[in-house]
Amino acid sequence: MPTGTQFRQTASALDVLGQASADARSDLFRLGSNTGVRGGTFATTIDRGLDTTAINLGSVTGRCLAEAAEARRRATLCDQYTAAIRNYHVRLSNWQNSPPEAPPTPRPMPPIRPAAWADAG
Amino acid sequence: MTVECTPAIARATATNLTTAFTSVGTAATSLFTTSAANQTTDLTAGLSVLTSECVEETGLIASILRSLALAVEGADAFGGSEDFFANQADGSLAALLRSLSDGRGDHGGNTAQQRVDELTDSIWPGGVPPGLTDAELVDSLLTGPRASTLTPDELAAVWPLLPAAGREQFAAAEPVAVLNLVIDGGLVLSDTELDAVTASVLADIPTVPNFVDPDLADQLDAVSSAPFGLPRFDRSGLAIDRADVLISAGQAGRDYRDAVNHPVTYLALAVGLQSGGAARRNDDGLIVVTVPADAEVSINDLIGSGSEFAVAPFGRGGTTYGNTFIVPDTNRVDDDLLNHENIHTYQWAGAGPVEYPILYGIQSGDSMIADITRNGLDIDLSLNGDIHTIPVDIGPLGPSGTPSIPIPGAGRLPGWFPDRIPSIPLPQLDLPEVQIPVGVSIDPDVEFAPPNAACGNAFEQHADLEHGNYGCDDY
Repeated sequence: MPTGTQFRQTASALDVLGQASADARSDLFRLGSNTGVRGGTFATTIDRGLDTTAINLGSVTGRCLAEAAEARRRATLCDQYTAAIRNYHVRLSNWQNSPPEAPPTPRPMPPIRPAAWADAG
Repeated sequence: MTVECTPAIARATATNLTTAFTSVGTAATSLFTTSAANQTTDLTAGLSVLTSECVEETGLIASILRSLALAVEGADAFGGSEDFFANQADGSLAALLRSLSDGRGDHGGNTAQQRVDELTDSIWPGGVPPGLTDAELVDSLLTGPRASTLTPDELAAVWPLLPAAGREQFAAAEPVAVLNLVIDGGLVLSDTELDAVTASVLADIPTVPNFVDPDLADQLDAVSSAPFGLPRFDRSGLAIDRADVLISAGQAGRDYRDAVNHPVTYLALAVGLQSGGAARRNDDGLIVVTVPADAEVSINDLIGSGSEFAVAPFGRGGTTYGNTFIVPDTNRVDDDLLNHENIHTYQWAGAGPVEYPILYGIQSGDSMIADITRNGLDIDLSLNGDIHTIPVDIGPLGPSGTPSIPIPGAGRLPGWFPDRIPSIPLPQLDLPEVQIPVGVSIDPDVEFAPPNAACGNAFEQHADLEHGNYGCDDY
C-alpha cells in the first residue's frame, strides 16, 4: 500500500500533467479557427476533433486538480497513521518492559489503518 | 465538396499541435509510471484514457494537415503524387472519425444519456436486438465490460435513464450491486426499487466467500486457545482479542471483516434506507446511514406485509450492525465517533454475526447491574403530572466487612460469571420515604430510568468509552 511520500509523488506528477494540459488547451485556443483547411468532411472533422480535444483537456485539467488534492489528503492520513504506529510501538515497548511491581495496565491497542489504501512509512 | 488547403498554414498548425501535445504526452507517461510504481493507479485510471485520446486525436489531425499540405504542394511539383498524399489524408481522417466515435474519452464529461448510448453501442453496435426485455437490457448494460470502466457516480447518473421495469428487476436480482451504487455513487432509489432490494436481501441474505490469509488464520487460532490447549470460555474476551488481531492485520483483517460482516452489513443497510436514511461509505469501509431521529421501521415496512409494530432502527446515539452504522441525524458524527464505531465492526467480525449480539447483550446486562449496584436506580414517579425522580439505593453486593468468596480461575470463565461469590444474597433495598400530599393522586405511570449499559460493557471499553460519548468518567 502507498505511503505518504508516494502519495505526494503522485500528487506532484498530477500537478505536472494538469499544468501541461492547461497549457495545451491555451495553445489550441491560440491556433484559432483557421487551420489552413476549408470545406468538406476534412474541415468539419478537424474542427470536431479540435473541439473534442479542447473539452477533454479541460476535463484532464479538472481531474488532475481533484485527484492531486485527494492524493495530498491521503498523504496526510498516511502521515497520521505513521505517527500513530510509532507511538504504538513506543507504548507497546514500555508496556512489555514495565517492572513486575507496576500496577497492571491493559496491553496497548494498535491504531486502526485509516483506509485500505494507506500504509505507514 | 471541394477541399481547400493553404499548405503553409496547415503545416504551421500541425507543428504547433505536435509541440503543444508533446509535453502532455511526456507528463502523462511520467504520471502513469509514477502511479504504477506507487500503487496509486486508482487515482489516475480515468486520466490514461482521456490523455491518450487527446494525444492520439491531435496526432491524427496533425497528420491530416501535413498530408493535405503535401498533396497540394505535390500537385504543383510532381504530377500524380497528390493522390498518394490525399490517400494518406483519407486514411488519417477515417482513423480520426473512428476515434471520435468510439466513446473512449469522456468528451469533457459526457452527459448521462451519452453514456447510456455508449454502453448500448459497446454491446450492440448494430442496434438493440428486437425482443430484448427491459430486465435483459438493464442487466446487460450494467454488467457489461464497458460498465466496469464507469465510476459509481457515473453509473448512478445512468440509472434513472434505464427502463423502470428493468431497474426494479435488476434491483431484485442484484441487490448488493445496487446498494453499492447507493453508498458509493449517491444513487437514490425509488420506493419500489428500494422495496425490491429489501425484499431480495431479506429473502436471500447475501454472503460472500471468506478467503482467510494463512498468517491471519494462524494468529486467530493462537488467541483462541487458553493455556494447555483448552478452548477459551471468556467469549467476550476472545472476541475482543480476535478483533485486535484483525485490526493489526491491515488489509487481510479488513477483508476478513468485510466477508464475515457482509450479511449483517447489507441487511442493516437495507433497513436503514427503509427508515428514510441516506448512506455513504467512508475510507475504512464503515457505512454511515443517517436516519431521521424519529425514524421507525416495522416488518410491514420491510416486506410489505406482516406486523406494523415499529421500532427505531438504532439504540441511543446510533448502533453499528456489521459494517453499517445507523445514526439519528440529530447526532454529531465526528472522526472520533467513527473510529469508535469502526472498532465495533471488527468486534462483529471477531465474534461472528450470531454470537456478537448475544455477547454484547450480556455485556450490557453486566454494565447495568454494575451501574445499579454502584449508583442505585432512579425511579420517575408522576404525581398529578409532575415528574419526581426518586433515587433508590440498592447498596453493594454483600455488606461491608464481610468478605466474599473468591472463585479460583474465574478469569477464564465467561465475562458474566462473577469473580467472587457474594457472602449474602442481596440486593438490600433501601427505599426512601415518599411523602404524598393529601388529595394527590398517583399516576400509574412509574418509569425506571434505564441503568447505564455501556460504561461497564467490555466491548464499549475496548472501542474507547471517551469517543463513544457515554460520559463514563468514573470507569
